[in-house]
Amino acid sequence: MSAEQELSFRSEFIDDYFAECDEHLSAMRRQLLALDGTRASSNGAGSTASVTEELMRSLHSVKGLSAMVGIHEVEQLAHHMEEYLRGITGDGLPFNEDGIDALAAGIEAIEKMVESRKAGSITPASEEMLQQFARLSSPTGDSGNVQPAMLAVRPGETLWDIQFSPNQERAALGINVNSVRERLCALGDILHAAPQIREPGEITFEFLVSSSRGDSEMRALESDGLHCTRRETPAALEGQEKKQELPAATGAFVRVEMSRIDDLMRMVGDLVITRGRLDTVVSDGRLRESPVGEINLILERQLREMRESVTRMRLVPVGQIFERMRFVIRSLEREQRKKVRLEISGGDTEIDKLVVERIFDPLLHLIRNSISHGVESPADRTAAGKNPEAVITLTAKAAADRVHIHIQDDGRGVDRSRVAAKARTLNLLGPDEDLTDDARLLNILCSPGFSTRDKADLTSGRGVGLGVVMTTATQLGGDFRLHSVDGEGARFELELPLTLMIADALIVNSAGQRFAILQGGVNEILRVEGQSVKAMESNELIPHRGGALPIRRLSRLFGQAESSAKSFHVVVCGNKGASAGLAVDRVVGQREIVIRPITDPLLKVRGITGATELGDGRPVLILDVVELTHG
Amino acid sequence: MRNILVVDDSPTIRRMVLASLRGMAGVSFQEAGTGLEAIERLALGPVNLMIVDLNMPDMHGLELLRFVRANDRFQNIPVIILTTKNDEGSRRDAMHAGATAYMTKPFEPARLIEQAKTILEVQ
Repeated sequence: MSAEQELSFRSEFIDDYFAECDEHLSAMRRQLLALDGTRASSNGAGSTASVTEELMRSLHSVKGLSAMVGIHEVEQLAHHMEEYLRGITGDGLPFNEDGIDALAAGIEAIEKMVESRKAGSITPASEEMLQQFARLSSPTGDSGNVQPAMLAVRPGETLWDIQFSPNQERAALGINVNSVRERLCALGDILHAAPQIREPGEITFEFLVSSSRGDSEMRALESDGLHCTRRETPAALEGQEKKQELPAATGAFVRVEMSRIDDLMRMVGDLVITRGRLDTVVSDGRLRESPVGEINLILERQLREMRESVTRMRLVPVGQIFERMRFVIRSLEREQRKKVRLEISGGDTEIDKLVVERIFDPLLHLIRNSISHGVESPADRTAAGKNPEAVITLTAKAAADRVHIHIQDDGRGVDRSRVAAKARTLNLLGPDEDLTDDARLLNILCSPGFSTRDKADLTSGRGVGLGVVMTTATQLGGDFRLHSVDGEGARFELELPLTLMIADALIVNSAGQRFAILQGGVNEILRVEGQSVKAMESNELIPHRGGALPIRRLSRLFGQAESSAKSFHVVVCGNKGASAGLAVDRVVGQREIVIRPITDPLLKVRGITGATELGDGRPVLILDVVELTHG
Repeated sequence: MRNILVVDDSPTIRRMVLASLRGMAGVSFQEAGTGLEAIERLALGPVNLMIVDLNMPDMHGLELLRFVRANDRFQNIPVIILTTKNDEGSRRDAMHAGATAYMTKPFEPARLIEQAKTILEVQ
């Protein structure tokens, strides 16, 4: 095979490689945390061995995969890490903090290399990192043998011997070793699984299962041709080492490339647009009362169902990224000499994969922010009558088509007087204004260049982080809020759309051109008479709810012809206390639109987030109202 | 029609092996992600060649190989060990356990196809 052929052979599998690497990486992070946990509690010698084994296997798989697709940088690092672990298990040495740190850094480095390879180029791991493992490792021989599998039976559980003989009839019914294993996993823990030969040529699988289920539930397996025998718990088994649990077979899942689901979503989007055209035709004439009108309505409902089911396919549990925050917290704890416990709730809340990817960095910023600014030192906490260990709670919950993510800490809360003092020096706050309002406080914290730290610290930088969070939330059509109580802690709230591809939008008209505005960001729509507008230097004001609302005219922003109409519509958006309005000639209606992002950097126009089509073939630009009115 | 059973816990590697051998005439393929699944395939239908990874969860490739060799019905099935383990000790262990051939990853597709062909011809 020529070098060129080989290259194309490899590139064929690169997406599979990325997908599988992701799985191994999250498994490794889980395994490492488990190791760290057992090390800390210092009574888990047995389970440490099996988790180390798992971690080693994951690294081994990554090494092999990387070698196959020719990513030798990753292969090399994974190899060093695997060798290091092998040394540990060979000599039976306990893990120390340095070892865990080195492994954590290694896993992070692998992830970075894989990510950078996805983007095109790759930076190899530093020599220092490789040497660190070489230094930490002590090479020993490898037998490649699997340790004997035994387990201490938990109180209230019984051991069962389950036998299964595969044959063609059972296979045709879907009863095979994987499905049997899955069912057994659901009933209890599989402690051991091995093939046996009964009579010449006949194979039987023997499973040893520990389960708390009753006799009748276990015996129900016999209807599928399984043999179940209850085993009396032998004392000899107690206290022995637990084998790692067998991984559940993944028979009920298929792995599909994200791009295929995107394609499907795009096609559903096209259908939505086509139905939009049909709708326009039908509602125009007498057709509405005809069978065509009825079919149109049925089609709408079916399309909505279809769209929802495709959307569900793209959803992943947000817990994935929550778990990764444990790593961040772990290293920050040491760096800042603070004690923090992370509590996660609602990790199984599902959200679009794309949204999950986009909020990872903002979430990271918020966690760092909480630890470096919110959480006090253990001594300060004790003095304030708090538990020296701080608690950061990450919560996710879904409501309608939005997901709420909260980051709550029990630290000192945002120091309002300090923020106010700094804001005054930057002319962000008037001399008489105070900062009791949380929305105003957040806006100041998110202002470019704002930081209460005089020097940038390693962790949260110069305060640019929060601005990034606000920008991301807005770009995603979401919301970012703060709730802070002095001395009790702060809660940052992210509200995000479940999915990004199809959304409800307002269609507006300005100087004869139509634009779409995502409904998620709109607070209200006003009808304004021309004479109530007061002109200011860079914008205009209208009276609104007892105050003044700054507005900007879309026609002026885009250099369109000014309308001579006496009244116009204003779309109001933005946070409470920082609302602003966008003046358009008319709000035409409300539609379900398919968002097509504008990815070409040359086409980046301020205030435009994407484009859509309403069914007549003409493109309609989607406006970023916050950017247009607040920018 | 000859049957080749590819046993590896990595779906990517399985696909790569299959893609490498795609050009062979008169063969069909089966896949297994674990040792137990592989043994089930053996029990359910004839297999003419196995390509087996060593480091797999819940049943090591060597265990699988030893099981196959210990069983009258399967002991003559040729087994190619395809592994990342590139040390003399692992190779020796595998050959002692009855491996027909030992190849290391990353493998060259051409080399794999050549070995598979030779083994099937000899059979």
